[in-house]
Amino acid sequence: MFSTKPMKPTFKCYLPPVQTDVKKTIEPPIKKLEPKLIQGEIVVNEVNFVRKCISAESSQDDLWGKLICTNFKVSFIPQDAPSKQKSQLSHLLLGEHDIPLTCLEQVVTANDTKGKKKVLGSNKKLKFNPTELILYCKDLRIIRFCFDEAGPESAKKVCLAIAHYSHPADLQLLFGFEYQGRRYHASKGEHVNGSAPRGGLRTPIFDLPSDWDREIKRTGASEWRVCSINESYVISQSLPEYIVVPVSLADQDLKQYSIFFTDQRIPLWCWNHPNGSALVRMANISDPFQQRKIDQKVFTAITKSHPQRSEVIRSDLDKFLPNIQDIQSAFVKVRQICVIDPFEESEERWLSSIENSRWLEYVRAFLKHSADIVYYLDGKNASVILQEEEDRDLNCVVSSLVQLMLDPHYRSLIGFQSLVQKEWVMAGHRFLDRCNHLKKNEKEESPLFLLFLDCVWQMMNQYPAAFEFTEAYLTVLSDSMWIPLFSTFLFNSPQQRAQHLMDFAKNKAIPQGEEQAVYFPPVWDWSQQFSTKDQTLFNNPMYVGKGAACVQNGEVKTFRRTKQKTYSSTLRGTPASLRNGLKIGEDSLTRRGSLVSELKPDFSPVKDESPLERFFRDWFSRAADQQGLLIPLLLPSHVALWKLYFLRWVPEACIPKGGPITAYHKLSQLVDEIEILQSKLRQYKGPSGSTPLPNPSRPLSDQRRMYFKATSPTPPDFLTSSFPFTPMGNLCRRSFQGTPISKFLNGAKIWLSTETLANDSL
Amino acid sequence: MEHIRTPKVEQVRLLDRFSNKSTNGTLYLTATHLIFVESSSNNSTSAAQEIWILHHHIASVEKLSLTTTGCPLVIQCRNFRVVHFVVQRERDCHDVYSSLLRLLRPVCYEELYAFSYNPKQNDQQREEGWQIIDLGAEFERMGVPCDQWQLTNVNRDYKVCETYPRDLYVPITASKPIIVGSSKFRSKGRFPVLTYFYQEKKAAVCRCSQPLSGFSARCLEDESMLQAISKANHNSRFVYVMDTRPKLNALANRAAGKGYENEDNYSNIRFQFVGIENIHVMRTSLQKLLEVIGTRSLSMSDFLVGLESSGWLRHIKAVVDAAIFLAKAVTVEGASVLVHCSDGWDRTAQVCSLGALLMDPYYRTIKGFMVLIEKDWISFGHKFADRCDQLDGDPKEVSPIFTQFLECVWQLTEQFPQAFEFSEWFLLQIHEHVHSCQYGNFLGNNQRQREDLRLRERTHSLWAFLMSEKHNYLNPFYSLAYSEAHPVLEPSTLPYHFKFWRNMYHQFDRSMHPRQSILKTVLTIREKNSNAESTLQALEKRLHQLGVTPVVTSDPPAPPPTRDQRSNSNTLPPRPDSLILGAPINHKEVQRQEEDDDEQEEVGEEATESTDTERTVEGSSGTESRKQSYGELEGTFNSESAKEEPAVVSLEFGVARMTC
Repeated sequence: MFSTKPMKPTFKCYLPPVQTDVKKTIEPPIKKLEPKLIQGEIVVNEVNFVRKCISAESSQDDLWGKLICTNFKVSFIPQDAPSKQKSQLSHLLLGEHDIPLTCLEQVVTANDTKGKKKVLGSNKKLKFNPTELILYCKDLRIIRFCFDEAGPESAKKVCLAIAHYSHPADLQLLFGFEYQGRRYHASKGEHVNGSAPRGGLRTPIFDLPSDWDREIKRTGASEWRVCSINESYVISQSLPEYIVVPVSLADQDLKQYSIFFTDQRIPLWCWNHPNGSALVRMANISDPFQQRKIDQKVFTAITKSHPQRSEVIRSDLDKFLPNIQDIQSAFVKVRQICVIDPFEESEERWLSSIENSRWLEYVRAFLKHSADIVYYLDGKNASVILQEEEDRDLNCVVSSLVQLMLDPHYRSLIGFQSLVQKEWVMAGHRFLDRCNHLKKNEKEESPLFLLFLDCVWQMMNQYPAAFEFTEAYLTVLSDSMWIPLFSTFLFNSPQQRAQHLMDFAKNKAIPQGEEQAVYFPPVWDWSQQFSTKDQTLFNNPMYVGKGAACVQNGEVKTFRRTKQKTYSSTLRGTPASLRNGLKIGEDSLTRRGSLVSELKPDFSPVKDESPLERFFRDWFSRAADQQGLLIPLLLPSHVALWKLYFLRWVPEACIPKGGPITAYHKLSQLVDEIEILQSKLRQYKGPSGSTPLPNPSRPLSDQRRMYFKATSPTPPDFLTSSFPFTPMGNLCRRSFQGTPISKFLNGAKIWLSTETLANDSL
Repeated sequence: MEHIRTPKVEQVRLLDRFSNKSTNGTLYLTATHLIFVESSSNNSTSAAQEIWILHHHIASVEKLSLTTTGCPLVIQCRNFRVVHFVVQRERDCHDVYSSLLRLLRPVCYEELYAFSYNPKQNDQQREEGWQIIDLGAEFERMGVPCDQWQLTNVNRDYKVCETYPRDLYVPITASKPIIVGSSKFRSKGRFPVLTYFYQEKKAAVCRCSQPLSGFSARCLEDESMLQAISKANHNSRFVYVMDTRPKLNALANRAAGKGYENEDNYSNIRFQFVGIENIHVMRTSLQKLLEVIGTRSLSMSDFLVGLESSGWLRHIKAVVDAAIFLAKAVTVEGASVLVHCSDGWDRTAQVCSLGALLMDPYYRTIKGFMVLIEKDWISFGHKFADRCDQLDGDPKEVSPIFTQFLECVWQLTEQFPQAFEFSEWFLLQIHEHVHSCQYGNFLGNNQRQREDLRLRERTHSLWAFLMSEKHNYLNPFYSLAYSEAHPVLEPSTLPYHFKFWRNMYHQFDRSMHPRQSILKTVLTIREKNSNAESTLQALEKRLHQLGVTPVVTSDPPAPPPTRDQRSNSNTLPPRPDSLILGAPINHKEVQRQEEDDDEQEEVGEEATESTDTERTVEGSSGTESRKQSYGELEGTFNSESAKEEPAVVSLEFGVARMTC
C-alpha cells in the first residue's frame, strides 16, 4: 500500500486504481441499438462501437454503445441495458446519456496518437480522424467519448454533425419549433373542449391585462393602472404589451416621454409595498437635455401615487454593481475551478481561487444592494426607481430579489415562477443573447439568470423554511435554460417572442386565436419534463407558508405583514464611514501570547449608527416572520458556494450516503409521516362526528407531497450529496499524473519554517 | 475576594464588535464572573441583556488609551467571545483591569472554579457522576481482553509511564521485559498500547510516542513489541506505522536523538508520514484566523484570502485525512495500525479518536463520544492543563488541539447529518467546559496528576451534567437505522467540504447568526408528529372502548413509524431549557393538559389545526438575558450559571446546511 506510487489518502483514491486492459474487454455488439426519439426528431448521423468514459481514473466502468446525433440532441445508447435502480432524476424527454444540442458549450475533437486537438464550430473541416470527442456542456457537464474501435469515417461525420447542428443559423431552427408544432397537432384531440385553458397552467404569464390587474389588486397598488399604449409593441420593442403606470400619467404623456428613454422603455411598475411605496424600474434617458425635465415628471407622478406622497429614491445600478462582462468572466472562472481544473492542483488554493473568480463577491453585492433597496421601501417608506442603461439585465436581478425579500408570495412555487415571468421574461431580459443559444456573439453571453438563482439559493440557505421549493428545483430550472423546447428562455423580448410564435403558428397551421402558452408552452408546466413523483423533489418539507399566500375561497389573499414600524426622522445621521480597525493601544498587557488575536478594535470617535444600519439591526433583533420581510445576513462567512449546482458532476466532491440531501430525506420522511397520521385522523373524525367513516374516494397516496416516504427509514444506498444528479460519466476530464497530494503525504511541506522544526524537537 | 477592588461600575458602554451599536449598563465583578447588565431603560421592548463571563474563560484583558467617551477595555475569551467595554472613568477601568489581571491568573489548581463549584449534589450523586464513564467496560465492549490482547498491570503505579493511565492493554505476547524495554526507547516512556480494537477484523489501533532512534539507534524490545502487535492480527502480514508528523519535522527530531522507525529494523511494518503540523503552527494558524474574522467591514476577498492564508481549514483537513487513512487501513484491509507523533498526546490523540469515530457508530452517540474523549484524550494524557492554559503556564504550550478535534467532528456532522446522535450544540458545550474549569474532568495534564488532586472527591464530572441535559443535545436527524446500515463513514476531504465553523468562532456575536434554524423547524415537525400520533392512539383507544373496530380500508397499509422514530417520539424530550431549543413550541401544550377530558372533540380540531400552524422559527432574538435575581450571584453558584453562558448562542444548527 505504501508504494512509491503517488496516491491520495482519501477513500476513493487510496488504493491504486485497478487497471484493466481496454482491448480485451471488447465484444463487438450485435444488438441493434435504437435511439428514443421525440416528435419531429430525426437522426442525422450515428456511429457504433463508441466508448463513453465514465471515470477519469480507469476505463473499467466505461460503456460501449452507439453515438447518435439528431436534430435535437446528442444521444448515446449503451449496449448493455442500464441497471433498473433509479438513482437520479429522470427526464421525460431526455435519456440518461443525452445532451440537447443547445446545451453544448464547446465541441472538442482530439487524436491522441497524432497529438492533435480541435474545437469544432459550424461548417468546420476536420483534417484528422478523431479518436476522442469531448463535449463541454452549459450545465457544466464534461462528457467524453472514445472512438478506438469505431469506424474512423463515421466517427468524424458524427463529430462534424454535432458541431454543425449545435450552431443553428437561425432562431427558427431551434428544435422547439419543430417539436411543439408536432406536439400541438398530435395532442389537439385531447384539448378540443378547451378544458385546459393556458395548458393547465397556474403560473401567470403577464401577457394579458388581467394578470397585471390581479397583481395590482394583490399588492394594493390602487394608484397604479394597467396601460395598453404598447399594444402590438408600437411604443417599445422590448417592453411587454401591457405595463403598469401611475394613474396620474395619461397615455398621451407616456407616449411623449417614451421617445427620450433608451429603447423607448418608459418606467415600469414592479411591485407595491403595503405601506404604499412602489418599486419601479426604468431605462436611462438618452437625451441629456431632457433628462431633468423627464426625471421630474416621472418622479412627480410616482410621488403622487404614494399615499403619503413620499419621496422617490433613484438607484443607478450601473454605478454600484458589476456589469454583464464582469459577471460572465467570474462565472467562467468559477466553472474552471469547479469542473475543469483537476482538483489536486487547485486543492491548496481552493479559497483564493474562489476569491479570484469574484463570483461570491458579486453574489453578495447583488444581495446587499437589494437589501438596501428593501430598506428604502420598507424602512423609509419611499418609492424606489431602479435605473439601468437598458433596464434589461441588472434591474431584473435586483427587482426580483427585492420582491423575494419583501413579499412571501414570491417564495411559493407559483409566486416564484410568476416573478421570473414578470421581471425577466416580460421585462425583456435578453435570454437569447445572454444564453447565446445561437452561439453567434460570445460578448453578449452572461449568466445573469444563474446569478439570480444563486442569490435565491443564498436566501434559502439562511431561511430554510421560507421557500416552498428546494435547491433541486432551482438547479433543474437552470438546466431547463438549455433545453430549447420551452418558450421561456428562447427570446430576447416579448415582442420577439410574439413575432416568432405568430410566424410559427402560421407555418404550422395552428388556428388563430389559439393561446401561445398552449401551442408553445413555457417551462412552468413541469409535467412536460418530469413525472409527478419526481416533481415532489421540488417540495421543501419545511415550508410553513403553504396556503398562506395562495388563493383562498377564490380570492387572492394578500400577505400578512409584520407590525408596521416607522422610523422617526430624528434618527437620521450621517452614514458611517467605513474605517478599518485602527491600531491604537497602550497598556495592552495581554495575558500571554496564547490564543489572543492581535487585532485592535476600533475605538476611534464614537460613530452613530446610520438609519440603514439601525434598520437592519432592529430587524435582525426581532424574530423573523416567514410571512413577512426576510433580509439575508451578508457578512462574508454567510455567503457560500452553491455546491449542488457547481459540484454535482464532480466525482471527487461526491459524498456517498451523505450531504444535505440526507437531512432532506429525514425531513421528508417525518413530514410524510405527519401527513399520513393527519389523514387518518380526518378519516376517524368523519363527517358525522363520532362515527369513524373512512373516505375511500381520496386515496391517501394522492395527497402525499414528499419524495421520500415514511416507510423508508434509511436513506437509499444511491443517495449521495449530488442527488438528484449523479457524477457517473458526467464529468470526465482527461487524466493527469503525479499529484501534489503525494508530496503532501511525503511531508514535503513548503510552509514549514525552521523555527517550527526547532520547536517540534523540544 | 481580596483581589476585587471595585465590585460594581456603572455607566459602562458595551460596543458591538461588528456594528456601531452600543449598549449602556453596569459591570459587576464577582469572585468567579464578570457580569454586564444592560440598563433596563435602554430598551423597553426587549428584556435587559446580561453577559456573564467566567474568569477562566478570559484569555486576555487590554486597557486601551483614553478616548473622549471613556476608557476602553477589551476582553478576549477562550470560547471566542470578544467584548469591548468603554468605562467612563479611567480609575474604574484601571481597577477592573487590574482586578481581572489577578483573577485570571490562578497559581494553583485549588484556585480553579471546579473546587468551589457546587451544583447542590451530595457525595453519592457526585460519585455516581464520576462512574458514568467506565473505560474498562469500554474495552470490554470492543472485545478486549481476548485471546490476543490482555490487560497489563505494569503501569499500576505509574512506574513505567507516568503520563499513561494505570490500565493498559497490550498483545499477550508482549512480556513485561519487552514492555519496559520498549518504554525506555520511546519518548516520555509512552510505549505502544491498544486504544481501539476493531472486532470484525481483529485489527488493532495502537498509539505511542516517537522512538529514540536518533540516526541509528535500535531497541530489540521495541522491535519485538511491534512484532507482537503485528502477530496479534492474523488478517494482515504487517502493521502500519503512521507518523502523523510531516517528514521534515521527524527528520529534525533525529538530531535530538529521537525520530522515527526505520523500516529496515522492524520486520513487517509499513511506515508512513501523514503531515499534520505541530502545536505551534496550529496556535499561530488559529490566531491568524481570529484576526481575519475579527476584522470589521470584512470584504469577501479579505475573508476568503484570510481564511486560506490562516491555513486553519487545511490543518483540519490534514487531521481528517489522517483519520480516514487509519479507518481505511483497519476496516478495509483489516490491518493493525500504530499511530504516533512526537510525544503521542496531541496529533496522536486527534487521529486515533477521529479514526475510531469514523469506524465505530458507538462513538457517534452522546455517551460514546464522552467515552471516546475520556479514553483517547483524558486518560491517555492529552495535556489539557498546558494546552488550555489552566494555570499560568508556558504560553508556548498553549494550542487549540482539542478545539481542532471538535471541529473535525463538526465538519463530519455537516457531511453526514444522519450519522450523529448529538448536535453541534453538544460539541460547543464540551468546548465551553474544557476551558471553564468548572468540572474536574479536564483539569491537569494526566491521570496521575488528577489522582493526586483527588478530583473525584473534590469536583464534579461534566459527563454527569451533560447526561442530565442529554435531550438538549440530540440531533433530530439522527437515525439509528442509518448507523446500522452504514457503520463506517466515508467522508470526502476535498477542500470545499471544509467550512468555516461560524457557530464556534462567532458563537457570541449575535449579529452573525442566521435568523432561522433547521433545528427548531425539525423539532416542530417532530412535535406535530408525536401529537398526531398520540391523538391517534387516544382515538383508537376510545373506539376500542366503544366497541368499534377502526376500518381503514383505502389506505395502503399504514407505514408503522420506524423504530428509531417511535422511540424518539415516545421519549420526546421535555421542552428544553436552553436558548436554541427554548422557544415555546406549542402554546396548546399547556392547554391540552387541562382539557384532557373531552379528548375526542378536541383532538380532531387540534390535528387539523396543526397543519396550518405557522410557527415563527427564529434564531437568537433578544433573549440573551435570563431573569435572575442578583442574590444568586453572590456566594456559590448554582448549576445554571454555567450552562447559561453559552446559551446565548443561537445555533444555525450543526447539521448540514439544509437547503434542499
